[in-house]
Amino acid sequence: MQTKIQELRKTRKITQNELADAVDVTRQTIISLENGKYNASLILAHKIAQFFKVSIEDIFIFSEEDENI
Amino acid sequence: MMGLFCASKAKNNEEYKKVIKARMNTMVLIFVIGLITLTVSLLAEKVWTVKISEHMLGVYCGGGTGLLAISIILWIKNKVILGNEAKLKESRLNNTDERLKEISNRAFRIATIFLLIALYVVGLIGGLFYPILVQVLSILVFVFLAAYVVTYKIYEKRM
Repeated sequence: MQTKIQELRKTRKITQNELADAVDVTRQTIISLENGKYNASLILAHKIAQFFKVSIEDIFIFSEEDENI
Repeated sequence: MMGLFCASKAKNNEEYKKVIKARMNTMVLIFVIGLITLTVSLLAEKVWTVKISEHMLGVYCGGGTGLLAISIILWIKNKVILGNEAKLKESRLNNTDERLKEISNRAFRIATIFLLIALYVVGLIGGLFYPILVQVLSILVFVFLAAYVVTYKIYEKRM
């Protein structure tokens, strides 16, 4: 799944470590989310959206291909 | 890397401290089991005059010593983590991170498949020489499958 985490993070000058600390995950998980290698759970997606003060849909770009619908 | 059976749901350091304390208590239990294994294997031959082959005596002593050593090492490791906030947080994240949990679950699933294949192959080949092996391995597979069905049904009701 594609995300806008990196874009939002760079716009707001936040490091991967700071984001990881804020949402209680490892930095590697943030890297995997940014690369689209790992899909966040609903709880983590919610935490990240709350951190950036935007909606989940604004960060996570859901495509039907991702879920083979 | 997340250790086997190390996944935790602790939300903050205070909750995680309780998890670490529980693990330290488990290490004490493992220490006692190791001590009992070592003591019984050493006393069996000398005090209770039970005949044990040299090989099996070595296996029992090695198992007991191994449990003693690993329990002491992990107890000290957990004690160090408890006394250091930075290490506590690092350990908490490594044990609660959802991606690491997912990796651990997948690795566990694949390891289980390999274990079942290994049991089948060992039973198939070993059974030609030691028929009892087939019975022992069949019981082990039955216990595994029974445990899976029971825990599946329990979680089915909870979720």
